Parts: sequence; structure tokens; C-alpha cells
Amino acid sequence: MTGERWSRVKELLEAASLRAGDERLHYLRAACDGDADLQHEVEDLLRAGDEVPEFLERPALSGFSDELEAENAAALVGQRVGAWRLTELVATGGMGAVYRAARDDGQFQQVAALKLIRRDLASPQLTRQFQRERQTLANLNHPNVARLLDGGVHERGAPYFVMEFVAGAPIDEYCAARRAPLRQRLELFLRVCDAIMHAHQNLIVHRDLKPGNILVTDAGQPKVVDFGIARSLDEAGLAATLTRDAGSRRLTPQYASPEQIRGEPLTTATDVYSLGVVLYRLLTGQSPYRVESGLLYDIERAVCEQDPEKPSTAALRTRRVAAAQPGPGAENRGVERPLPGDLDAIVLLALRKNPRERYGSVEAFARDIRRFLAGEPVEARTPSWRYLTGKYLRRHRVGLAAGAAVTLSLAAGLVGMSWQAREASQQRDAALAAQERAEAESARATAESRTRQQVNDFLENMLAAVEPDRSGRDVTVRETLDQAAEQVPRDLADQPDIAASIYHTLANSYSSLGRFDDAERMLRTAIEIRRRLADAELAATINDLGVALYQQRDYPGAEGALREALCLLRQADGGAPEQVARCINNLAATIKAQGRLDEAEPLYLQALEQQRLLLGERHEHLAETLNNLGGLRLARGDFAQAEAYCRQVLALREDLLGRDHPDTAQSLDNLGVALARQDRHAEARPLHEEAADILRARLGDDHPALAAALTNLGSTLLALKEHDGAIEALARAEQIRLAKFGANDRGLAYTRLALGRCYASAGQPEKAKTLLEASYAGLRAALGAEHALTRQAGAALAALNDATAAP
Amino acid sequence: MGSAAVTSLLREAHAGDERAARRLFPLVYDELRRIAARYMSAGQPGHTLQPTALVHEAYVRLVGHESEYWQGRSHFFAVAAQAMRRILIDHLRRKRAARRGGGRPREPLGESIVAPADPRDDYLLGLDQALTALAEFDPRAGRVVELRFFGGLTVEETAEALRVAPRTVKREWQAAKAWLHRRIREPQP
Repeated sequence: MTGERWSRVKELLEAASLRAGDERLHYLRAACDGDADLQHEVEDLLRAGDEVPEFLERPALSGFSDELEAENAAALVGQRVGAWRLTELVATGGMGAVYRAARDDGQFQQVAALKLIRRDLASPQLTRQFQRERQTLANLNHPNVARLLDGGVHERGAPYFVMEFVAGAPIDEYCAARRAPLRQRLELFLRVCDAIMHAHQNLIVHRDLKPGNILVTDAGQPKVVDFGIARSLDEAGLAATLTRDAGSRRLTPQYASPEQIRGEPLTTATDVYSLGVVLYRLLTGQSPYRVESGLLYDIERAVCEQDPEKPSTAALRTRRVAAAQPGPGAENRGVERPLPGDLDAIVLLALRKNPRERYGSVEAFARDIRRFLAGEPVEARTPSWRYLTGKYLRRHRVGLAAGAAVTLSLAAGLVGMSWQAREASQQRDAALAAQERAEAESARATAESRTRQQVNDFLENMLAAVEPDRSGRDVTVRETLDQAAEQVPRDLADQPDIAASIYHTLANSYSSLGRFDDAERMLRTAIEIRRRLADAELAATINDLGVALYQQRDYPGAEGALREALCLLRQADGGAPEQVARCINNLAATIKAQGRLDEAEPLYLQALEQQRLLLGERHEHLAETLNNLGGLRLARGDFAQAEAYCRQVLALREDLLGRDHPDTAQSLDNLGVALARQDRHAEARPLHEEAADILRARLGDDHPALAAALTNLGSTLLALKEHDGAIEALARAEQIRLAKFGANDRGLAYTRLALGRCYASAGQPEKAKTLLEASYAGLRAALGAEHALTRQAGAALAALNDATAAP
Repeated sequence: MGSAAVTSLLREAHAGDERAARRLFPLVYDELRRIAARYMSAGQPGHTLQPTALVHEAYVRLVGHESEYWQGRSHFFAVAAQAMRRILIDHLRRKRAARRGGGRPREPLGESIVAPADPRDDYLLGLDQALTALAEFDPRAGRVVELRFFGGLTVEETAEALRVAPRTVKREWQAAKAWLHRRIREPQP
């Protein structure tokens, strides 16, 4: 194409592009004046120009800078930096390049990692500061910290750092590649926390924690690298130093804390935050922030303003995505099982926008994770009563129903209390709302509900004041209760009625935890106050004291308390017939426990009659009294009657509570006993088995109620001559009772009696003898030499001795 | 080399001294290579690149303050755009050679930033060839593309660097784009 013709083409192109459609066509036809080639050429170019309007409009350099930088970095291999020769380019990134380097001054052989920082990122002032801090950094001696060996300034002001060479993968990739389970990830993370804690103790803040700076060796050893290096970087160049998602080509300041982005002073809280982001990533496989655009500005805004999604929710989505796209994409996934809520709370607390609201230290952060791993309450949860209680109960696998499995009526203290506490203020953060609610409520409150409100307030405040890390130990529900108990006289000296309410509430909680001695102490204090005040709740308090004493097997003491309670209840204006009935039931149980069966029976019947009148035929309290009556019939040897009662209770409980409730299990067990006593062992067996299954599932492997059911099961199996099964059940029961109640327990002696008989039948006289001797001694001590059980044990022992003495 | 020497080279190059231009080029090239990586590292989808800022910084680093020698700055733009083109194309050629086995592909550890093979690579290499062909019969159109596409200059800046009217730049740009696109779309045998 000649220059002249091409110039003409360009002119026509310009002119034609200002016209459209037919006008363009007419113009071109006229302008070309019969030169068909020219017209065709211009039309062709017009079409080409219209085809891709964005052609060349985006400058060429987009996206190439990374490659250019990597190339620049590679060009330095073989060169010397300070006393080091660069032997291999290991990685390039936003901050610069990392090389494998060897000492090149002939002094000694040493291989290290040399990080050459892009000189535009370092200001001379901060580089000097780094030089000053170098000694401190070099002294950072911790197995999980890569040691700083050397540092300096390369030509043209590019700072470099030489550290221990770590052959490893970033922690997130390490976990993903191994599909590490949750516990392993957390344990690895805890070792990282240790390293950071060590640095903090040396007054060094890392300030650039991210998976790329936490490498894990093949041996599973995590090493934190780049300590103190972020410090030497220009604050203004921060954005460029921030990490980038591998492969995504996006700059992601997602490990930077909000205060870092805002340019505020940085403290150890910054490391807490960044560790939180790292943990988030380990658990979920993704960043806490969801930013569609990938623009730096949007990411920074998200870090400062967006509330991270709960890790459990994020992890769920990661798993869904991974499930939908199996294969290579799956390696980014987090933990493969659902994340518990405690971890959500822990991670989100570390990620709070306000540094002061985060964990006060990496140590506190780590400690909470350790608590989580141990199944203990975590600090990150608003320590609401409900939570502490729930956690405790789960840990010990004690259902609330455990209390109900006892034949006596326990006040449902824990249930009521947790409900109240939750109602009073589910979130301490919403203190204002709670206050408003409290005010609104108290405006229309009766004196009684005001008291309840105050009790709740006190407990809430007490919970808020608990400082779990003050002593460095775990705070259990019991300790919380203890602290509350100590605080009452101080805080409520001028409000004795409320103090008494709190003592009573605390006592119920102690009872539910099986701490009857502490409950007794609380109740006695409450009674003392209420006596002085002639409080309406005095009788109920004394009743509960009777129950606490019964539980400690102080039957005479229990009887005295219950008689007084009953007397007071009957005196009360209008009475409280339902309370009276329960109190009579309790008194009857106490009397029965002392072997005065004749005396107990009419009391039970009296309670039963009242309850029928007050509550109708279908009520839990009625079931309780019927159950106790069945037990009484059993003790009297009236097995058929006992069976009838047991069946009645079983039907009632199954209906009211469901088949798999521990109380229902107790009824199954009791019915089994009633049948076994009638030598209907084959019928009894499945009942005992089912009871044991339910109790194990609901209350755990080591609950005393399970020991009782297993003892009964073992006795039945012994009667059926199934020695192996019997021994297995009884041995487990023996273990539980020994662990829970000690060697002097009466129940243990009974279990050993059955187990001893099993061994005797199974032809193992030595084992049988040991057990029967222990059983006899235990029963004699607990029940006296004349008790039927003691006699049975003695007889079994004598029979064994006869058998072994016989030739 | 100090900024006075660079300014002098610019002046001479601007006056048409080919040797000065040849000595200036590697200086600009090196400086741009260094700055480019940083400025362009936010090479994210949707992110608008500002090569002008890059060239400007290179200019300040090499020459000094812009007020000193305004004409030189325009010329510097032209040299810089050329340098950028060379930087990219050289890079792509090396990369392609490496892919063919000419070099060991690097496995970056940790922060991976090396891009996978990009269809844009081939496209740019093709464009480079087409641009060379265009410049053979229309050097000015070729310069416009170099400045606009590789140098990231606006129409006005390009006009200033080439000392022509903006309208001329627009006309050259439009025609060059159409021609280049057609050429790349239908490669010459």
C-alpha cells in the first residue's frame, strides 16, 4: 500500500466513522468516486474497527508486572548480597523476593533464606530503625520462630534480611494438602501462638502474620518467618506489602487489621487479629471477608467495616462448593466436619474491629482454644449462665434429668435459673436494652418478681465479673458459684431477702451438680436469714435442706428438717397443698431409708391422695410418689404389688416424658427388679438392658444411675447363668461406683456382692473371695451386721469357703 | 548516570540525534522495568492501569523535576513507550522459549505470582509483529499505537509527544486499530 493511498484511506475512515447507516454508504460511494477497491478497503476496515471496540483500549502492561518482577528477581541469582551469595530464587511476592543463599565470605558454611525487599517499599528511617532492632530480633530464640541471622542494605537502598532457611509449606496449604482434621489444625495453630507469645514477651510485634509467613516443615514443625520485617517497611507502602492470594492474582490486604489499614498505632492486638484471620482460613478455607470486586479499596473497607461471617457458616459453604467440584479445587477446603459454635465465638472475638475488644493477648487467645479442645467453657462466649451450665453439663455428660432420677424431689434450680438468667439478659453487650427492659418490667412488677429481677441482676453481674484468666485456671460452674457465694455478703448486706433468694438459688444449682454439701451450706445460710425475716419461703428452704441431707445419707437430719418444713407448710395461710404433698413424699422416703417401712407407707399414700386431688392422675409428681411406693413394696417383699406400681409409673412416665427419658429408664429398671424378685429373670433381662442403654445414651458412661441399672442387669444375667455378660456389666458398675463414691459406698458393696457371686459361679474362687470379703465389710459398716444384705454377703462368703475347703 | 546527563541525552535525542536516543533507551528501559513491577502489581481484573504515572516516575527518577525540560518530557514519553513495548515483548519471547523447554519453569513457593500461560501472550506477540508491519508504511500510526497502548498515554499526551494535533492522533489511532485488528484476525501468509 502506498503512503498516499493509505493516507486517503485514513481520511475516509475518519469521515465515514462520523456517519452511520445509509448516510455513511452514500458518503463513501461519492467520496470514492468509482474506486471500488478503495471503497471496499475502507468498508472492510470500518467493519474491523467496529468488531472489537475495546481492542487495544486497555494498556498492554496490565497483568505483566508480576512476571516482570519475577524475572527481575531471577536475574539476581548468582549475585552477592552482603556476605551472601544468592543460589536460587525461592519465591517472589509483593514485598520482594526470597532466595536461598549461602554464606560467601569464607567464614563458615551456612545456608539461609535471604529476603530482598523492594527498595521502593523501604524508607531510610525505618531501615535504620530495623538496624537498631536487629539485636532484639536476633535474640528471638524459639523453636517455632525462624531465626534472623543477618540483615543490611543492598545497593540502591534495598534492605535485605537473612534468616534460617525453612523448607516448608504455608500453614493453610499444609493443612489442606493433608486434609488435617480440626484438632490437628488447632494444635498446629497453638504452636504458632506460642511463637508469637514469645516474641511479644520480647516486645516484638510481627505485624504481617499470614499463612505465607507461617511455614510448616514436612516434620510438622511450624516456623514463623519475617519477624520484625514488616516494621522496616514504609507505612505508606503497606498496601503493597500485603499478601496476595496464591493464584488469584489479587492483592488481598485481608490479613491486615483495621487499625493497620487506618494507619493507627499497632500493638500486640494487631497480631491477635491477624492470627484470627489465619485461624479463620485454616478452619474455613476462605477469607473472613467477602469482596466481589477485588479492588484494594473495597477490601480495605470490608476489613474495617464488614462483620465476618461465622466460620461455621463459611466452612459449610466451602464444603458445599468442594463437594460440587471435586478434584483440584477441593484442596482449598477447610475442616471437613461441621465447626462447633465455640470456635465461631473464639475466632470472631479475635477478629473484633476494635483492638480493645479482642483477646487481651495471644496467650488468652491460645488459652481459649485449649479450653475448647478440652471441652471446657470458652471465654469468647458471653459467659451467660445458660452457656456455662450447658457446657458443664455436656462435659460431664450429666443430664439435668440426673437429679430427677433420684427418688426424692429436687427443686429444678438449675433449669429455672438458667432460664431466668437468659431472660434477664441474653447478651451482656445489650446492657442498655436489658436495663430498659428491667426498668419497664420493674414498673409493673410485684414485690416477688422484683426480688427475682434483683437476683438475676446479681447473678448476671457476678458472671460478668468473673475473670477466667486471673488465676490462669479454668473457671468451672462450681467456681463461678463459689465466687457468687462469697460475693453475696459483701454486695447484699443491706438486702437480706435478696441475699437469701440468691443463696437458695445457688443451693439448687449446687444440688444439680451433685454438690450436696455446698448446697447444704447455702441452704443453712438462707434459712438463718429467712428465719429472722419470717420469710414465706422459709418452709420451702427447709424442705430443700432435708433433701440435701438425704442425699448425703444423713437420714435423721433429713427427717428433722422435713418434719419442720411440713409443720411450717401446714401452718401457712391457705397452705400450699402441692408443696405439702411433696414434703410428705420426701419425709416418707427419709423414713423408709431408715428401714421404718410401716411408718413410710401411710405417708406415701397420704401424699399420693393429695397429689391425685391437686394434680389429677397424670403428673410427674404423682409418678414419683407411685415409684417410691413401688420401691417400698419391693422392700417389703410384696413383689406383685411392686410390679403393679412399677407398671403404672412406667406407663405414666413413658407417656409424659417419652421412652428414652432417664426417669422412664429408672422405671424399666425398677420393673425389672420386681420381675426378677419373682424369678422371672428372662422377662427382666430386656428391661434392664434397655434401661442401661437409655441411661448410657442420656447420662454418659460413668453415671451412677447407669451403675445401678448395670448392677441389676448383672444380677439378672447371673440368675440366667450368663456369667460372661454378668461379669462385664457388674465390673463396669463396680468401676463407676468406686470412682464416683469411693471404696466405702454401700452401692459398691452391693455390686461387689453380685460380682463375687458371679465369679464363684464361674469357678474363680480367688476373685470371688476378695470381692465378697470387701462386700461383706462394706455392707456391715453401712447397714449393720444384722441387715439382710450383710447376711447374704456373709452367707455367700461362707459358702465359698466351704466349697474351697471341700476336697 | 546523573540526571543532567539524562537531560542532555534527551535534548540531543529530541534534536534528532539517533545515537543519543540509542543511549537513552536502555536507561529508560531499566528504570521502567524496575518501576513497572511495583506500579502494575495491582494487575487485577477491572483495575485501570496508569502507565502515565509509571513513565512520569521514571522521568522524575532519571531526569528530575518535570518543569526543567518540558519538551524533553514529551520525548521521554515516546522513548518510554517504546521501552515498555520492548520490555513486554522480550519478556513474552523469553517466556515462550521457556515453555518450549528453553528454560526450566520455576515453581514459586509461597506467594505464587507467576501467571499461567496466557492466550494474551500470543496475541501480544502477534500484535507486535503487526505493529512492526504497520510502522513500515506508516511510522506515525505505529508511534501512536506504541504511545497509547504500550505507553498508556492519552490522546492529548500522545499528541504532545508527537507534536501533532489531537485530532490527528485520533485519526491515526482509529485507522491503526482497524488495520491491526484485521491483520491479527486474518494473519498474512
